[in-house]
Amino acid sequence: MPVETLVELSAYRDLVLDVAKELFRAAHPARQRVPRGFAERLQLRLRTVEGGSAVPVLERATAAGTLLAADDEFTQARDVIEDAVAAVAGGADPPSAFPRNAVVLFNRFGQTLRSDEAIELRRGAATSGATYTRDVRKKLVLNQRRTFQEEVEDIGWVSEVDGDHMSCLIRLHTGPPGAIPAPLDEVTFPAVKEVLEPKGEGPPVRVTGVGVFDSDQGLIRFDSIHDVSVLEDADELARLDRRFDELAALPAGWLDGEGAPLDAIVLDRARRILAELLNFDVPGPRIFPTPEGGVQAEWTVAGHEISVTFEPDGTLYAVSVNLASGQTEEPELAPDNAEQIARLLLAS
Amino acid sequence: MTAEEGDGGAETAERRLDDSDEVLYRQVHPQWIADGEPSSQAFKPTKKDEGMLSIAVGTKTTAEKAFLHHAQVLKLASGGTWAVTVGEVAAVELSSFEQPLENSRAHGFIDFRAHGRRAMESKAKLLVAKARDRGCMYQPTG
Repeated sequence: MPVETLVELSAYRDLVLDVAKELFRAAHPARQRVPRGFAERLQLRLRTVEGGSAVPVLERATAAGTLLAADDEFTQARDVIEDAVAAVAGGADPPSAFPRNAVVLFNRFGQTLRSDEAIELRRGAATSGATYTRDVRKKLVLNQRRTFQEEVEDIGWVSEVDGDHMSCLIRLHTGPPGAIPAPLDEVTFPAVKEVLEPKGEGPPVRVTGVGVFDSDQGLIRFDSIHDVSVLEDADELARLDRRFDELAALPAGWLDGEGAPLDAIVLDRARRILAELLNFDVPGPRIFPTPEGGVQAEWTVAGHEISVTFEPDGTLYAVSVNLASGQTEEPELAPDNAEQIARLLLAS
Repeated sequence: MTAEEGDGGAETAERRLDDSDEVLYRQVHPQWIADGEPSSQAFKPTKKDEGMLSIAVGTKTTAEKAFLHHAQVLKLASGGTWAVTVGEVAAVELSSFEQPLENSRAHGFIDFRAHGRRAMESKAKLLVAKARDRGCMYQPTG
C-alpha cells in the first residue's frame, strides 16, 4: 500500500470529524460549539490491510469504559459523505442532508489522487461503495466554491522572492503564462533563493506543492510548496520545448497535403506529461506529429520499440514490441499519468 | 542530378517480389525524423494509402534517385531515404509488390491491407528497427 494512502486516511478522518461537527450544529442550532471532548470521540484505527488489492479497513475505537453509540454524528457523517460522493459520481448534486458548509472540506481529502486512481468508500461489511475520484472531488468542491486545491508537480522558474513576506513568484512550465505566487517556509526559502535570477532566468526547478485552481482560470496560486529542487535535465527540457514549438507551428496539410494541425490541448498535455517524465530515470523520447493531429512519442529501450500516442480525443494509445520475439503489447494508459509511461519504459 | 526513375513510361502490372535480398526504398517525411532517426509511422500506411505502403524497388532505382524522384517529380517532402529488404518484410508476415506507375517506374508497395491497427503498429516498429539498423541510405546535403 503506497505511503500516500496513509495521508488520505488521515484526511478522511478529518473530513468525517468536520462533517460530524456540522451535523451536530445543524441538530443543535442553539449551541455555538460542539461539546467538550467531541473530537476525541472519533478514534479511528487502521485495523488491517486486506489482501488482494490492499484495502485498508478503518475501525472506530472507544476509550476505556465508554460505549460506542450505534448511530452518532460520526456514523451519520460517514454515511452522508458516502451518499454525497455517490450522488456527484452519478451526475447529481450532493443530497440535502449533506451540510453545505462542509463541502469545502473535500478539498483536503483526495489531493494525492491521480487521474487513474480512485478511493472506494465502503461502510461496514459492504462489498462495494461510492467511488471517489479526482473529478468527483473537483465537482464537489466547485459545487460551493470557485476554487479547489490539487497537488501540483511541475517544472518552473523562480522570478521573485519576498523575504519579508516569505513568498515567491514561480512561472510554471505548463501552467499559466504569468508567474504565480507561492508561500515559502524555513525549508523552501533557501532553495528558492538559491535559484533566483533576475527576470526569472535562473535554472529550471522541479516544484511540488498544493495549488489553488480557479474553475475558469486554472491554477492561480500555490497554497503550499513541499519541495523545490534544481532540474538536472535542463537541456532535455529545452529540447522538448523546441520540438513542441515546431509541432505547434505545423499547418493543416503538413504531411504532403494530409495531416491535421495539432490540437493545442493535445500538445499541452503531451508537453506536460513528457516533461514530467524527466522526473524518472528513463531515456528521452523522439517526438512526432501524427496525421490525425496527435503527438507520438517513441523510444527504443532494451530491445523494445515503444510508442505512446496522444490521440486528438484525449486518450493515450501505447504499443510495445519486443524486437527479438515480435511479441506486441498494448498497455492501457490513463490520459494524465507520466508515472505509468515511466513504468512501461522501465519494465522493458 | 536528375530524377530518372519516372522516365520509363506507363506500366501497370503488379508483381510479387520474392528475392529476399532485394532492397525497398522508403522516403521519410522530414517531420518523421527526430535525432536522425525515422518514426515507425514512416513504415505504416496512412489513411490515404489504403493499406499499401509505397516503396521504390531497389533493382529499378537507387536511394538517391528515389529521393530525387520523390522530391522533384512527385513534389513531395522527404528528409531522406531509408530501406528494408523483401526478406525483412516477409519476416513480419507481409508481402512486397512491384507496381510500376506512369510517373514512377520503380514504384511498389508493402501490403498491410489485411491488418488492423495493432498488427500495423507492431509490423511498422519491426520494420523501422531494421531500417534504422541499416542507416539512412541517402540524405540531401545542405
